[in-house]
Amino acid sequence: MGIRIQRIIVLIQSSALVSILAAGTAFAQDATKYDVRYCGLGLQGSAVDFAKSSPNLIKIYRSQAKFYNESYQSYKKMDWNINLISKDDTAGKDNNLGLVHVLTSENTDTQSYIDPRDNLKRYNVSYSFGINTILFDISALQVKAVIPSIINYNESYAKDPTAAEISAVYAKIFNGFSDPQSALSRWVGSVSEIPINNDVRGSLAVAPVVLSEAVKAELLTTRATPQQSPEAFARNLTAKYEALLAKTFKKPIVPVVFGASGDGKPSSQYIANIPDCLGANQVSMSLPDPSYELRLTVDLLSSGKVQHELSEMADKSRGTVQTELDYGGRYITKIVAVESQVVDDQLVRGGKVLDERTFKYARSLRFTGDREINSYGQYEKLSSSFLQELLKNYTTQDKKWIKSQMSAAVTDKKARDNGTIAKSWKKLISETMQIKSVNDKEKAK
Amino acid sequence: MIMPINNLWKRLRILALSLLIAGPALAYAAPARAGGQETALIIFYGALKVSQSQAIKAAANYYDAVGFGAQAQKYNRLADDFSSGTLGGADGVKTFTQASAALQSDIYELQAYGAVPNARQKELAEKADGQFAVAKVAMLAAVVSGTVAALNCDCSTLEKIVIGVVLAAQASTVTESLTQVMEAAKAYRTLELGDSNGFQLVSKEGEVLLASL
Repeated sequence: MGIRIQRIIVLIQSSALVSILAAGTAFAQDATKYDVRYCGLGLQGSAVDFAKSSPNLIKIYRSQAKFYNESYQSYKKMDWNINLISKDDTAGKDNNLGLVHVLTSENTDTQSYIDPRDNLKRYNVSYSFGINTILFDISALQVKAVIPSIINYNESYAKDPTAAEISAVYAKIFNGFSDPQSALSRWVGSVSEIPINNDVRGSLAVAPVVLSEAVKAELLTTRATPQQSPEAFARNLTAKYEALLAKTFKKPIVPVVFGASGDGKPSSQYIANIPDCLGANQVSMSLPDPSYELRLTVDLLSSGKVQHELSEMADKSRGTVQTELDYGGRYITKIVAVESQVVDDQLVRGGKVLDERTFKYARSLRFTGDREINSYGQYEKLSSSFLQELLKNYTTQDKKWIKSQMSAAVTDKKARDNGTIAKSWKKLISETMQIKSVNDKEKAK
Repeated sequence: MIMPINNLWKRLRILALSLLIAGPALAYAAPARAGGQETALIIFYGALKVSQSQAIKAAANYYDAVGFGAQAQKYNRLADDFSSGTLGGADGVKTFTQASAALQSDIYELQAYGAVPNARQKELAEKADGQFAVAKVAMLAAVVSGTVAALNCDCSTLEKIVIGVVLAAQASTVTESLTQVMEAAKAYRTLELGDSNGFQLVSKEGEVLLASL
C-alpha cells in the first residue's frame, strides 16, 4: 500500500538566497529592499582539490560567465525581497552584502539492471551535486546565511555511458534555465520560497551524522564498491540532512564545513572561491554560530527478504513470486540549543538537549521474480527518506506517524507516549523555534 | 460536486460507527435484511461498472505507455468485460482491486530499478494519468449515486444502516485501490529528478524480520 516516500530528492533547496537574486532591474529602484551584489558561481574549498573530486562541475565553474548571465536573467523574472546588483554595477549602492552559488561536490552513480519489460541489460545513472547559496559580507568575509541544495537527475541508458557522455549531461543540467520543468528551474523556484536576511538569530545547523560501530560494520558488509565507505555514507547523509532541513523548515542554515585535517571534525571557517566578487584567490570566511543544532545517530541498519505469491492479475511470465526486500534503520534524533567554542581552530559545539528520540523506519522494494540488489545504496535512500519524514513531522506533530515509528528500543511507557511527544514538539518546533507547519505552507499555496 | 461527496462519506462513517454500537441488535436483525442487502449491492455495483471500466482502460493505456505491451492487452480485455457486464458484482470489485495492485506494483518496480521513462513514454503516461483522474471523478460520482439508489429501498432503518456500511466498505476498496495507483504514477513522474525511489511499506512478514528495530 502506499508508498510514498518520495522524496528524496531533488532536495532542491536552495533558497532564500536566491530570492534575492531576482531582484535585478525590477527592484533596483525599491528603497525598502537592501542591496546585494550578485556574485554568480563559486566553488567550495580549494580549486585544485575541487577539480580532482568534481571533474564535471569544474568545467561548469570555468564557464561561469554563461551561468552568470542566464541565472541573472532568470532571477529578474522572480519576486525577490532584495535589490540585486550586477557585479559590474558601479553605481555605488553596495552595502557590502554579496550572494553567490557555491558548488560543493558531485556524485555520479551508475547501476545496471535487467529491464523487466524486455529482459535487456540497462544502466541507470544518478547525477547528484550540491550547491550552497550563500549570503555573505564582502568586506568582513563573514557568512551570513546559507541555503544548501542537492540537485538530482536520473537517466537510463542502453549502454554504460562514457565519461564524455556523463560530462555532457552535467552541462545539459546547467543549460536548464529555459525549461520550467528542469532540475535547475525547480531549484531556482524552491530557492525563492525561502526568505533570506542577514539576521542569524534562531539559525539552524546540522551536526555531522554519527554512525554506530554496528552500522559501520553493516555498511562495510553490504557495499558494492570501495568508495561506498561508512565515512562517505555519513558525509552524504549530513549534506542531505542540511538540504532537507532548509527545504522543509524554509530557513537558511549554518553549514557543516569539514576541516582540512580529514578527521571528520567541523571547522569554523568556510573556504571558497568567489571570483566574480573576490578575485582569483580562495578566501576564508567566518561562520556564525547557530542557535539550534539537529543531530542524528544511525544506531542500527538491517535488512530482510520475504517472498509472496503473485496476484492473479500480475504478469507471471516474469516470475512466479514477488520478492520483497526490506530495509530498516534505528535512528537517534536530537535537537540541541547550541553553545559553541572554537578550540585549536576546530569548532566544538555543546549545549542543552531540547529533544531526544529513538525511532525505527523501514521500507521495502518489491520485484517480480527473485532479485538481489546492493543494500548500501538502499540504506542511503532509506535514511534520507526517514529524515524527510522526520522533519515534516516535526512541523506537523502527527501522532500517528510518531507511534508507527517508535523504536522497540524505547521501553519506557512515558517515552513511548506519542501524544506527549506531539505536544512537546509543538511547543519546541512551532512556538520556541517558530517553524511553520508544512501543511500550513501547502495550504497557503 | 466535492462537497456532497464529502458529506456522504461523513454519513457513511457515522453509519459505520452506529453499526459497531448497535452490534448485538444487528446480529438479531440479520436474516431480515439479507434480501434487501443483495438488491442494494446489485444496484450499487451496476452504478460502479462504467467507472471501473474507465479506470482499467486507463491502466491499460498506462501499461502501454511504459512498455508492458502484454499487460496492456490483458487490461484492455478486462475493461471490455467491465463495460459489457461480463464482469461485475463482488467478483468485479475483487478483480479491479487485484488489477490496480498489479499495476501499482509494476510502477514501483520500475522506480526501484531506476528505469527512467523516455520522452515519449512520459508523454503517454501523462495522458493515462489524466484518464485516471477522470475515472476517479466518475467513480466518486458513481459511489454517491449508487449509494443513494441502493438506500432508496423499502427497508427498515436498521437494514439501511447495515447496507450503508457494506456499501461504504466496497466503495472504499475500489476508490482506495485507484488512489494508490495514481500515487504510484505520480511518484514515477518525478523519478528523473530523483524524487522517487520505489519504496513501499513493509509487509507484516517483513515487519517481523525487522522487529528488533
